[in-house]
Amino acid sequence: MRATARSGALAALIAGCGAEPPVPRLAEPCAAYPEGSDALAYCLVTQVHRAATVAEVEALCAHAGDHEAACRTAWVGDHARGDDPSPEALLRLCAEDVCRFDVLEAHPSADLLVQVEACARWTGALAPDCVGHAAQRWVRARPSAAEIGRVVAAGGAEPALVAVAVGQALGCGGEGDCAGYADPRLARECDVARRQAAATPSVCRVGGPPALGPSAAAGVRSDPVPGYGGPGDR
Amino acid sequence: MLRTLLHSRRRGWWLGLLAVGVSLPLGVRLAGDCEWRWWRFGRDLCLAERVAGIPADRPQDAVALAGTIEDDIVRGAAVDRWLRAHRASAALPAARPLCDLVPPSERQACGRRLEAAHLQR
Repeated sequence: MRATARSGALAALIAGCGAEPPVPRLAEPCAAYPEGSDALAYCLVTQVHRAATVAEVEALCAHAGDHEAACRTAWVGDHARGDDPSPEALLRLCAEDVCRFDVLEAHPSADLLVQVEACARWTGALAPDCVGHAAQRWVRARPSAAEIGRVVAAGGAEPALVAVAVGQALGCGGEGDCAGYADPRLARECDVARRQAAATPSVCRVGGPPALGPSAAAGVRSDPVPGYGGPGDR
Repeated sequence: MLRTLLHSRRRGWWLGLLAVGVSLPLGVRLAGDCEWRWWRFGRDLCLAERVAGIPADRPQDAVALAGTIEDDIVRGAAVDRWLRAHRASAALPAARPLCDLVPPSERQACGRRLEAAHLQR
């Protein structure tokens, strides 16, 4: 029933009766696929790359059924590295974690704490990987003693992963001490990471071992995006 | 009885009926096999259903069978469906070639989804 309704709506769109005029043009190549089929939904995903606006994406992907999130992710992937639409608009358009992960990777904040907060807020199960990439960029930028002290004092999201980043920064020659952590568990995480980084210099180098993750780590922008909207935007 | 049939004046008619009786079930069975679909698109849709039925521990079979689907959208949809069902449990190196079978515009996304699923394990 639902599939029939969806197919009927798609047929109406293809016939030019939809509310969004550009959508029939985008959906036209998919008219050959059976109504309600995986192939039709998948075809719509392949056509979303031709969409020019967020409104077109939303209108087309609304007809992709179970593929709606993938449909939105496909278009966001094409536009993540640009500034129009804004990263905030792309995050709102996303309907799955991997999509938001791509946006944050494409527009990383130079402030580790801002990026970690955004990772925790937007990327769900991918947050540890998102934080890992942010930490790697931060460590390789050789943070100053004052910056390390600021991060240690701040607390915030994903404290254990941040403590590891601080330890790595110290192991890579940064000034400071893991003893700055009041929480002994975080101090221990920090110290283990410090010793490991000191013994593995490749951790500290740009171009060292690549980070694991769905996307290659992007470079730190010189004009960092300060934040990604307030709570409840998601 | 067979001798009666063979010597009857209606021998041709009986033999024809016998041939139909034997070939009909055989034809039905073969029609169930995607390779015997005369309509290329129908054959592809049939193969896509068969790909969906391949278990997670046999990604190489999914690669082989999906590779025989001619329509690139039906093939991409079949790969996507199999990966959605199994990407978290399928062996990553063996499943990765599936992403080479999707349309070029979707290959990167396919690979990233596969990697992301393994990160979430």
